[in-house]
Amino acid sequence: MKLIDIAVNNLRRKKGRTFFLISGLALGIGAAVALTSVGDAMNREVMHALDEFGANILVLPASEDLPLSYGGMTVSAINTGGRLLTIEDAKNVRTIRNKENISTVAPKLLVVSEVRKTRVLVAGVEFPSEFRLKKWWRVESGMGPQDRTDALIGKEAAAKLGIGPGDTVTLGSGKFTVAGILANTGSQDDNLIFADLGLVQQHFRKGNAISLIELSALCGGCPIEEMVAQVNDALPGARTVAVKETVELKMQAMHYFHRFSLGLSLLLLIVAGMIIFFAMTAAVKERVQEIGLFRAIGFRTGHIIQVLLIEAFLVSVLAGFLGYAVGVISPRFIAPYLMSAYHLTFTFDPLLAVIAVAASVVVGVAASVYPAVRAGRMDPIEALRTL
Amino acid sequence: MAFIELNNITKTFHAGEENYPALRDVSLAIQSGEFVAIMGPSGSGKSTLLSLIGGLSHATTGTVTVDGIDLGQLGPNKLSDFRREYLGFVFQSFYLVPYLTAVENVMLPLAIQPGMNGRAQGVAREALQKVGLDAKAHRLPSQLSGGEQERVAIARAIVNRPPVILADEPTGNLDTKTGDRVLDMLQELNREGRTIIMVTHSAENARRAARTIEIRDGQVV
Ligand SMILES: Nc1ncnc2c1ncn2[C@@H]1O[C@H](COP(=O)(O)OP(=O)(O)OP(=O)(O)O)[C@@H](O)[C@H]1O
Ligand SMILES: [Mg+2]
Repeated sequence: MKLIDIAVNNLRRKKGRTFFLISGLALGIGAAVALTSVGDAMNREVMHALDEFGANILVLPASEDLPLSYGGMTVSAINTGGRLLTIEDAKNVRTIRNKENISTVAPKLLVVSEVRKTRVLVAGVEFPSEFRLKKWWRVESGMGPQDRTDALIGKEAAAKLGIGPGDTVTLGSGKFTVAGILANTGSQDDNLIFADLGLVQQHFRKGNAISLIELSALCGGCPIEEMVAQVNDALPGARTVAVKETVELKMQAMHYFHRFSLGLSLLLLIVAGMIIFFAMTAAVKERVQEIGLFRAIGFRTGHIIQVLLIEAFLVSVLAGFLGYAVGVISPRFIAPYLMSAYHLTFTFDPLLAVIAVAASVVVGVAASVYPAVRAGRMDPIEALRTL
Repeated sequence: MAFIELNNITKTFHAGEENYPALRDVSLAIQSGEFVAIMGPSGSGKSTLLSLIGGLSHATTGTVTVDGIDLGQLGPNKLSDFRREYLGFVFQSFYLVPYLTAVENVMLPLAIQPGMNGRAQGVAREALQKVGLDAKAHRLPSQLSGGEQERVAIARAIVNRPPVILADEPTGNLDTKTGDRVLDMLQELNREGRTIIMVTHSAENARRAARTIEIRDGQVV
């Protein structure tokens, strides 16, 4: 017979009370775990959505000045620069260590052409990857490119040049058919004409040169800065930069979700702690005589505290495991009803399991310290009033 | 010096505005191995006296010494250790722990006894045998009769072989026959050399003891 046996027998033989304590704490832990895993899943989902939202890494020729003004159309810089990138570089991007995290590689060649006596910037692109990168692109009138010789024109350029779907334009040495007009994007794309990369290279005699590569990295977890370094290593003649705004937006969203689920989890733990506190206080009151007897037999204050804290510890460990199980399993059934729009995927996270049990023990034991100390300090004669 | 000595003890309870003197200038000496009965009307201070000897509360003035130890000088932990080493309590309402079986209840004092691991069960069974309850060792208190519960309480009081047994109306809740058995046991323990101090209302019960101390209104008469 040791102190732990007293605690175990009490828990074992007062099943109702033990069940109440365990389920109270487990519910709190479970809700916190559920929140965390739903938060994580939503985080991943949002990250995924954001990852596909435009480029977050830009690969430029090493010799170019960074601002390059693909937006501001300082095109001369692009054309007169030293060595241009080649289509090989775009392929080599796919060889970096974090290649799984690259969702889209969109190489471009920017050239200036004269259409109806007006200088206009022409972008040679691979349409499929361009559409994947720019999810917001919509063809307003006409239709998407069907043939290799089909081109798309930005809204502003179309207005300025007076060109519409079906018109033929000469770009370099080649003839292209305007298939459609892009809806307003509010970006430089409104002023551009987009045509097939291979044909633009051929008709402007650029060989296999390209001006820049836009990358979209799936970066829920991967370190953007590290990927930038990897691309730099893979492409010695290039300069790779992270598009800060996009990265920061992602980080912000991530932090928002983390803070939200963390704050709510903390609140739940506090409530669970209060349940334990009141239940323990009530239990101690109910056991006054028993505690008085322990004291009369020769138990020290510390022995009483030990018995009660061992009980709290056992309850907390069980509640931690149970709570983790509840928190991991319940979202699988509930989430489809609450958030059918999302495709949440849940994963087993051993770290979360450890944290759940640890949090349960910390909360359960901490909430029991005060009632236990008070019980231990109880005047034995008061406790045994009828001696 | 006697084994148990009370010198000019007073014990005052504070009940609201009033100070109630439960014991007034009590002096007593009890020798090692004595069987003493304490008698007196309800409210006269018998239980209070027992609690002072048992180190469950401190006297307001005066000194209590047991085996030369001045209980007034002991802090809470030392007082606990004193009770563990010297005393076995038997209460009127048996105070068995409801979620522990008979043998587990008897083992309670051994749970905090160093070096008891492994032996506790055997020692507890021995004590239960002594009170004739070995066969019901694994019953919970709720599955035992009142007399059986009291015998478990006695087994618990003697399990760590304390030199002193304090019994507060040990037969108060029992019928005459069962009460007699309990008294037989106390006498038997006394013959083994233990000092027994028993509070009782019954003059017949008191005759089992070698000496009777009468208390009235907090004073020895
Ligand atoms: N904690 C307390 N606070 C206030 N008064 C108390 C306290 N404990 C005991 N008393 C009072 O002290 C007096 C003696 O009490 P005690 O319990 O010693 O009596 P007793 O002789 O054991 O009586 P009984 O035979 O009924 O058990 C009583 O009047 C009682 O009301
Ligand atoms: Mg009494």
